[in-house]
Amino acid sequence: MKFSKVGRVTRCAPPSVEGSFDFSARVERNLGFLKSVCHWLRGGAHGVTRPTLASLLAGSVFVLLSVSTKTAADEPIWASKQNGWAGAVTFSAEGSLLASGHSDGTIRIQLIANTKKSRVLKVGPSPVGAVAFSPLGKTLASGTYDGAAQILELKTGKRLFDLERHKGGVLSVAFSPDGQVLATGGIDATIWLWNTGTGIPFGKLDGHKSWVNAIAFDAQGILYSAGSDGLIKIWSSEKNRAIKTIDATNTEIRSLAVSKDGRKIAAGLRYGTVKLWVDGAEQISVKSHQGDAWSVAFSNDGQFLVSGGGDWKKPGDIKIWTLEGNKSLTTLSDNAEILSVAISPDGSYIASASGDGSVKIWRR
Amino acid sequence: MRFALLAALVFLPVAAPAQSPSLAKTGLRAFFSKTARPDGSFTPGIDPEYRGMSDSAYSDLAAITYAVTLHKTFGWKLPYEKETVALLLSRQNTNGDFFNVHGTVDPKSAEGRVYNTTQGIVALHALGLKPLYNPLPVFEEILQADYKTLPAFSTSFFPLAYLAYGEAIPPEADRRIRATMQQGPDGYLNDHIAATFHATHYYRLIGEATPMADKIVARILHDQAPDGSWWLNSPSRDRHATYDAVFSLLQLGGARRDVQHAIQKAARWAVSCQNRDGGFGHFPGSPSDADANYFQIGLLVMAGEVQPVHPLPDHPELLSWGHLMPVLTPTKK
Repeated sequence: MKFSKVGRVTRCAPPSVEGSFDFSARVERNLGFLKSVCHWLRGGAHGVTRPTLASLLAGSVFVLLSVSTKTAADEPIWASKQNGWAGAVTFSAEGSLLASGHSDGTIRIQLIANTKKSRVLKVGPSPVGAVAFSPLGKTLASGTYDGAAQILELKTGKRLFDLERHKGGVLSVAFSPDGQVLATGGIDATIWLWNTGTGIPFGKLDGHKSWVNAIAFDAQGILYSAGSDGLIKIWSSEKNRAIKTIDATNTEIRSLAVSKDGRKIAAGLRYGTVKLWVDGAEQISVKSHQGDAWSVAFSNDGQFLVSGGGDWKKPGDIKIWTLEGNKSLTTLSDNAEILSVAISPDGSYIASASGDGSVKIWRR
Repeated sequence: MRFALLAALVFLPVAAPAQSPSLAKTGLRAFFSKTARPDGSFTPGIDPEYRGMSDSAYSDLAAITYAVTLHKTFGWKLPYEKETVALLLSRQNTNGDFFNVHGTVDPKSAEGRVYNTTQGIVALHALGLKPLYNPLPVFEEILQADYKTLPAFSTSFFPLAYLAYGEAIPPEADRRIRATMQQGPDGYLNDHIAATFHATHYYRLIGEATPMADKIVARILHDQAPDGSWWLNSPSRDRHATYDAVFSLLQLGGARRDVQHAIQKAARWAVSCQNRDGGFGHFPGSPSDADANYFQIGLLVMAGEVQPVHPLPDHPELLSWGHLMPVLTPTKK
């Protein structure tokens, strides 16, 4: 169903789907299957990481130790490549699906348990720059450069709602932890809040001075955003205004991640720096990637941070940061700049999306 | 605070519809009236807290140079011209370097030195002046080795700076820069329109034909997005892409009907980037920005949608990135 800007039903959008199997049913069947999935995935990886270079970059609690290792474990255990670029990647809440957004206007959904099973949802001609699974497991949201966001039904691939309020591209999407709210951030420096059951907007957040490149909820439902204005904002739902602003950098923030408990915030910056705040205090600021730090992601337990980055038409890399204790940081090299990273819910695997159209799964 | 569903629905008006080319200059003057400062500088945006984007975030000389360029394009008097001149002159070291005070680029880096010094020379040239100190040793020094580390879109800075200072680029400098301009099978450099544009601009400035022009035109036409832009990648990758494509099309195939059609389509897209405050964003909906103003207005000038001053200023080809350079009779609709 497509809703007009005043909430009326104006038309039913036909599903634009390639492939035919019922993903939603597979999701349910696979809820208890993740362990075997992970076992299968591990079977494809070889080698052991060995720390060879330590670089202590932390405050009193958080220590980063780099590892320079080249083993088979540095190779992806699964990869797929499309024309154009892949700008977004995310795991479903229970970890059985991987979705990626592509420059050809498609979302590609990969069944983890059977990598031969994938599905393509055609969202539009405009590139898909953001994707997110609903934590409720039934829907998927995307943001496209033509100024719209979409909510799609996983079971059928049907487009449930076109969310059209941004003027200009939608760069970021995030579901609240209860799945009832979708937040979208745009090139117009605004954030819109949408009722995921109706597709109707119920709030607009102003305050950023430039593009809202990244948004995230913590487990308590608090919304965080980061923009090209170099600011991170934490929002109040009651007054639709920021209750806290972190002046993170004099350059642009490309990416943002928040730990489930809300204690840790990570940001990836233009020119490749990754920053980490803990309980509001900046703990780490380290140049991590050549080019831009396009993406950051926390593991569900908040113990690991993954960042991905790179530069135009140059090899990119993924860095895995251990945040608690004197543990390791691994660098995974890719042929193209890494535009997006995600960590599987159990923390075992990392997915990446690259400038050359590749989507890959790596063992952490 | 938890974001639960709020009972009250908020229906705010949708942003303003696209403006028209005729409003472009009016809006631009309104933007400048709000961003000119008594010290002769210009802020990146109308909101004093806006930090700029692309060039305007990179170096505070960018907003000044683009303001000077656009004022001279239309024959307007700068709000604080005497102060702007004094400010530009004050931003040069005795070794010839121009430098930024605000912005993300390190003024001592090779790319910062090339960028700032070129912008300083170009702005002063547009104002009919020369720098206090000879800036060319800056380029001579960088051409010893550091030029190899510059971004792929730095090539045409060199002939532009030399010419705006009143000299042709020396043969050895020309040879070295050319050696960095490696075209792919499709004529593109670095697989991107930005580096390709700067190569096209380079050859135009030195008065030579761009190699593989037909192939470049073919790819540019092929790559144009349905909305008329060349926004194909992450927005930060393509902030100037549509300007770059239009310049290259005009330069390499401006007489072709399909090229003119593509340029008119691009012009409609550029118009859609104008905001209610009069300024232009890099993309539709993007906040107004001093850098975006230059590239969108420059595109509209190239498309014949916005008319420059008549007669053109001396050496119009040296006003920033060549928006007055291609000679083309605008397509009449």
